[in-house]
Amino acid sequence: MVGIVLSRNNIFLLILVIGVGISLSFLSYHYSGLTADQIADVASNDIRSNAIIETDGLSRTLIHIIDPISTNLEILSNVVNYSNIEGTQVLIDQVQNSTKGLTEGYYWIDENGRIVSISNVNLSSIYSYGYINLSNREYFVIPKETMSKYYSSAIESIDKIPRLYISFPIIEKSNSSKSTFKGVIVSSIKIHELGTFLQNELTPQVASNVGLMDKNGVIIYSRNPALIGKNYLDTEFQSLIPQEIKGPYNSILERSLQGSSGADDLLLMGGNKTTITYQPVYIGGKYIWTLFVSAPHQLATEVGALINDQKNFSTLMVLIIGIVALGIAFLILSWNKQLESAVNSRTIELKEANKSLQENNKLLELANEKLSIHDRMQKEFINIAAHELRTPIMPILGDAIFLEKQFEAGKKEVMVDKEQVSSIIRNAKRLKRLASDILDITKIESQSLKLNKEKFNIKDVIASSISDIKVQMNSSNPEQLKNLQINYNPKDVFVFADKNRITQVIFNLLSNSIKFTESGSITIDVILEKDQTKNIHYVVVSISDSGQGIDSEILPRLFTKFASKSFEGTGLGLFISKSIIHSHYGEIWAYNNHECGATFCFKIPQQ
Amino acid sequence: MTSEIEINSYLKNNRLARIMVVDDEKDILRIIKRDLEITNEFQVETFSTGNEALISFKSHEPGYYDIIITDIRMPRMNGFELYRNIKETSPNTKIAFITAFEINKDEFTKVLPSIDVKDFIIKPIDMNDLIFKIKSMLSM
Repeated sequence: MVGIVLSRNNIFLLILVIGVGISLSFLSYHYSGLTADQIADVASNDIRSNAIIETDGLSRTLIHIIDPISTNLEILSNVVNYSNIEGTQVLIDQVQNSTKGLTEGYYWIDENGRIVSISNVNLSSIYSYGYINLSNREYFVIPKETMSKYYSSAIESIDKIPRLYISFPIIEKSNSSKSTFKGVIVSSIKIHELGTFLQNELTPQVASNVGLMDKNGVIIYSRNPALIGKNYLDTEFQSLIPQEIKGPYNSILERSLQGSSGADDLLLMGGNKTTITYQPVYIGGKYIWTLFVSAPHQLATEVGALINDQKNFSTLMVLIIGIVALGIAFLILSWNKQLESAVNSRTIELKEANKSLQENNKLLELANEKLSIHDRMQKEFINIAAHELRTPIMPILGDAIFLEKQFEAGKKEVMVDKEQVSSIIRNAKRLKRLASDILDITKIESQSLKLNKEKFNIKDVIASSISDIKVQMNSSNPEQLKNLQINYNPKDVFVFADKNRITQVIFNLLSNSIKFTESGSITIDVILEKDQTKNIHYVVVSISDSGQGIDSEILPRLFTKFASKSFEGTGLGLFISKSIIHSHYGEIWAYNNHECGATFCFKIPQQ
Repeated sequence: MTSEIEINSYLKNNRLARIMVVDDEKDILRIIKRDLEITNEFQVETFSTGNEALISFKSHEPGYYDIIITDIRMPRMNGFELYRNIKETSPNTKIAFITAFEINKDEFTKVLPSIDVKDFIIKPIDMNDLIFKIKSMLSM
C-alpha cells in the first residue's frame, strides 16, 4: 500500500470509521448480552413452567394408573367368595391381565394371613404357599385394623426388590350391620417399573428426573435405586445433595410433605439452575405421595452460553468488519492518493506537453514569420532588381532606337547630342554598378570575399569619394549639389586594409546620406580610438547628415539585405558595407541624431 | 478607327492631348517626352517628383491634363500616393502607371482597390505600346 498523506479529511474519515466500528461492537456486545440474559430468562421460565405442567400431568397419570388398580381391588374385595375360589380366581386373573403393565400380581389373603389365590398362578400350586403366614405384613395388618384400604410405602421383600402394595380389606356384612374382616386383596407394584413408566411419560425435551416420596418423607422412587426406601433426611440422600443447595432443597422437601404443590429454583455452583417442582398425589381423596420433578436449566444455560458465544462472535464480527472497513478506507484513500498522483502527473505531463506544444507553436510562428519576412524580402529583391535593371535599360534602348529610326528614314548621318551620349554612358554605368553589387553579394553569401590589404591614407579615400559623388550629383541633381554642404577636415590617418573595399564603404555611406539629404550638410569625421583591454587602435569614420533620418521601421534591420526604403538604391549597399567592415574585424552602426538626420559610423583596426 | 476619330476631335478643338509624365529618372522623362511629342499628337509635361506633379495638377483647371502617367517607385511621394491625391481632387482623371515591378494584381489591389492590371505599363517601355495605350485611354 502506498503511503497516505494524513490530510485533515483523511484523519477525519479514519476517526469516523474507527468510531463507528467501536460503537457498533459495543452496541452489539451490549445488545447480545441483554438478549442472552433475556433468552436465558425466557428459557428458565419456560423450563420452570414446563416442569410444573409436567409434574401436574405426571401426578394425574399416576392417579390414572393407580385408580384402576384401586378399583379392581375394591371390586375384588367385594366379590371374592370363599365358597367359589375357582370362580374368583378367574376374576383375579382377569384384573391382573388388565393392569399387567404395572402390577406384578393380585393376591387373595384370608383372614389368617394365608394366601388363597394369586393371579395367574394355578390353584394347585397355591397349596405349596400354604405355610406362608402374611398376617404380620403391613398390607394385612393395617387394613385389618382400620377396615379400610391401604397404600404402602416402598417395601422390600425377600428378593430385595422394592415394591408398592395396595391392599383392600374383604369385609363381610351381617344382617346386624356388623362387619367381619375376612382377609385382604393385595396388589403389588414394582417401583422400578412405575418409575420407568413415569420417566417415560416425561417429555424428552425436559431433561428432568422424577422422584416419588410418601407422606412420611420416604423415597418411593428415585433414579438412584439405592435411595429407594430411604428417608430424605437419611445420610444416603443428604450426602448426595450439593452443599450449596442443601438448605433450600431440604426446605422444599419439607414443604412438599405438607401436601401442597409448588416450584422452586435452586442455583447450583457454576451458575446452573435447577427447578424442583412438587405435586401431591391424592388417591381416593387421600394424600398419599408427593411427586417431584427436577428440571435442570441446562438448556437455558446452554442457550445463554450459546448467546454468549454469539455475543462474542458478533462482537468479533463487528470488529472484523470494522477492521475490514478500515482496510477498505485505507485502500480507498491510498487508491485516491494514487489516482490523485496519477492525475497530477498526467496533468503535469499534459501541461508540459502543452508547454512544449506552445513552444513549438512559437517556434513555428517564428519560423513562419522568418519565412514570410524572407518571402517578402525575396519579392522586394525581385522588385528592386527588376527596377534597377529595367530602369537604366530604357534610356539606353530609347536613344539607340531613336537614332536607329533616323537611319531607317534614309539618312546617312544622324545628329547625336551630348545628352544622349552621356545618358547612355550614365545608365550603362548604373548597370555596371548593379552588376558589381550583385557579384559582391554573391561573394559575401558564398563567403569568398577576399581582401587585398595595404597601408593607405584614409584621407585620400574620403577625398576621392567626395569628388566622385560631386561629379555624380552634378550630372544627376545639380540643384541638390548647390544646396548641400559636404564638410570634411582632411588629416592623415593611415590604415592597413583593403583600399578598394573601404572606398566602396565610404562611397556607399556618403551616397546613402546624400540620398536622404535634399539640402543641408554632411559632415565626415575620422578619429582614432584605443581599446584599452585589447590594446588595439581603431580608426573610426563617421558620416553625419542633416537629412530626414532613418525610418524607425528600417532601423533594426538597417544593415540587412533589401532593407532600403530608398527608391534609388539596390538595398544592397549597406549590407555589402557591413560585410566588408566585418571582414576587417570592425564594426558598423548607425543612429538618428537628436536634432535631425542620421549618423553612420564604422571602425576598423588600424593595423 | 474610333481612336482616330477621338484624336481628331482633340485636333478639332485645336489642342493636342496633354499628357503628364512623372518619374524620378530624368533620362526616362526625356525619352518619353521626345518620343511622344515626335508624333505631333501629344503635348507632354514632365515632373521628376510626385509633389511637383501634384502642385502642377492642382494649379490647373480640371481636365487640363488628359492623361497622367506616373512611375510607382519614387522617393517621398510614390505613384500610388500621387494617384490618391489626384483622384481626391478629380476622380475622373485617367491615370496609368509605369513600373519596373513584377505586376502582382493582388498586391496592388491591396494598396489601391480600384486599379486594374491594364492600368500598368511595364518598363522598359516599348514606345509603340505606350502610344497605343494612351490612345485607347483617350478614347474611353
